[in-house]
Amino acid sequence: MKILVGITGAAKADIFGPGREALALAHAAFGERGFFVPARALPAGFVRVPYTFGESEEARRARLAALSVVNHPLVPTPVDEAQGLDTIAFFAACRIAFPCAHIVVDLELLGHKLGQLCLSFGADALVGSVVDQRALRLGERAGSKELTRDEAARLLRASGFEPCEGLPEGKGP
Amino acid sequence: MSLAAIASKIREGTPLSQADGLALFQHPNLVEVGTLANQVREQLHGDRTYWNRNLHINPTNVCVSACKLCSFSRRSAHDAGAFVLGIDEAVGKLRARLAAGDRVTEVHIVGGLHDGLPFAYFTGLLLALKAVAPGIAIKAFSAVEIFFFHRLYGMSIEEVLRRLQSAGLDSLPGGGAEILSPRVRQAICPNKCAADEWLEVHRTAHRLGMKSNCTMLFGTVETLAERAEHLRRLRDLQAETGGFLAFIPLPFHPENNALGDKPAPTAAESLRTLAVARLLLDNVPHIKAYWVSLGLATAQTGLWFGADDFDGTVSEEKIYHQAGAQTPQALAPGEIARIIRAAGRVPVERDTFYGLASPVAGEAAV
Repeated sequence: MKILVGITGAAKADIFGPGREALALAHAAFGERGFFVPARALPAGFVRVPYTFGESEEARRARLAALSVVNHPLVPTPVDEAQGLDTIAFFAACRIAFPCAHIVVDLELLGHKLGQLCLSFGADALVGSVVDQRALRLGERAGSKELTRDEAARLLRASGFEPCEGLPEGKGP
Repeated sequence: MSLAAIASKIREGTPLSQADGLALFQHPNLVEVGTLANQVREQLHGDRTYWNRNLHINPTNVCVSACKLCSFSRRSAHDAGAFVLGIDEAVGKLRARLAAGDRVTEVHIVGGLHDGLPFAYFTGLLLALKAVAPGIAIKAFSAVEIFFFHRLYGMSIEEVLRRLQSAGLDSLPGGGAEILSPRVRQAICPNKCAADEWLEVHRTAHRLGMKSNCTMLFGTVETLAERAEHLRRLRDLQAETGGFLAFIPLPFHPENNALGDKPAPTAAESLRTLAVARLLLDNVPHIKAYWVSLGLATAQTGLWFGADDFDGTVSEEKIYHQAGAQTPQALAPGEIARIIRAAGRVPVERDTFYGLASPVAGEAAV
C-alpha cells in the first residue's frame, strides 16, 4: 500500500492537544512499556478499526463511540491509502476513545516512519514481520517493512517506551 | 534547564544556548518540544508553507573524498557507474523541463570532487544554463566543492566565488556541513574540508552578497551534544553575516555506503531535529522539511514541528536515492500543494530567495 499524506477536513487541526492527551493516556494505561508483536498476519483477537481520509471528525467520533470492543487490541487501518497527519490524528482519537485498550500500529500498512510517529500520538504497540538480520532487507528488499527485534526495540525506545515483546491483557475500554 | 524555562526564554526573545539545545534534544516528550517549535513557526510564518519549482543537476559523481557516509560517489572516472555530464547534456535537462511547460525557477547543482575537470567546465556550465534561462536562479556547489576548487585551482575562496558569481552563480546550497565537529568529520569524512573551512566559505559568500543554506547530517556517529554544538555554530555565523536563508536537517541514509551498519535515524528523531532547529536557530528565517530525505509522511508532519518549507519539485534526485531513499524522484506542483493543504497549511510558491511567485490566497499583499 502506498503511503500518502493528509489530514481530515480543510480546517486547521490542532494535532498537539489530542496528541498530548493521547500520549498521557497511553502511559497511564501501560506505564513506560511499549509493545512489539512479531507476526506476519494480524493475530487472532486483534480488531481492525477502519478510517478513511476526508471523513469528518464528528463521523469518526460517532463511529468510535459505536464500536463495541472489550479488551481487544485495536488496529487503526486505512481503508484506502494511509495518510500522514490524518493517521496520527486518528490514532490519537482512538486512544482518547479507548484509553485502556492496546492501540496497535500495523507496520506492514504504515511503514516504520509513520508507524513510529503514531507512538507519540496514542499507540502503545507495533505489530509486524521480523527478520533475523537487517542485511536481509538490503538491495531489492530495501523497501521491505520487515524489521529485526533490535530495530523494533529502537523504534519504541526512540519514542520514550521501554520495549516489551508480546501484549499483556488490555484493561478494557 | 526545564522546558518551561526554555519556553520562557523564547517568549522573552532571549536566544537559546547550546545547553538549551541539548536539553531539547534530550527532553523525553517529543510532542511538548514540537508544540513549542510550532508556536515559533506560526509566529514567524503563520500557516504559510513554501515550495519551489526546482531541478537538480549532478555534474559528476567522481569524487576524491571517499566519505564513509556517501552512497553516490565513485573513486575514479573508470569505476562502474561513474559519470561526468557534458555541458550540453546538463543544459538538456533544463531545456527538457522548460519544453514540457515546467516553469522552473531554480537549478540546484551539487557534485563530486572530481580532480580531472578544468575550472572552465563549471563556469561554462553556469554560463550555458543562464543562456537558456536568464531569469533562473542557480544555487550551486556546496562549500565543500568551493573549498576543493580553491585548493585544486590555486585560487582564494573569494576568487573562486567571484568567478563563479560572474558566470551566473546566485547562491550556495547548504550541503557538506555534516556535523561541524573535528571528531565527527575525522570519523565520517576525513578528506572533506574542516568545519572552520566550511564556515569560512559561507562567510565569504555572504560577504560577497550571496545567500546560502545550511544543513546538518545527523545519525552517524555524533552525540546529541555535538548536534547542539553544530546548531550553535550555525547560529553564531548567522548572527555575524545574516546570509543563511534556510536550515535543512538531513537524516543519514545507510544503504550502499561504508556506514551501512548504522541504523537510519527514526522519524521521531527527524521531527525532533526540525523542532530543535526551529527553536535554536531563531535568526535563520526558514526551516526546511526536505521531503526527499525525510519521506513524505514525515516531511508533512514536520510542517507542525517547526518546518515552514517543503522544498520543491526536485526531479532527478540521485544522492539520497542511491542511499536507499524510498521517496519519489520528483513531485508535481499540484501534488506538493495537495500535501501541504492536507496538513492544514497554505502552500506558497517561492523563488530561491523566498520572493513569492504570486500573492497568497486569502492574505493581504505582503
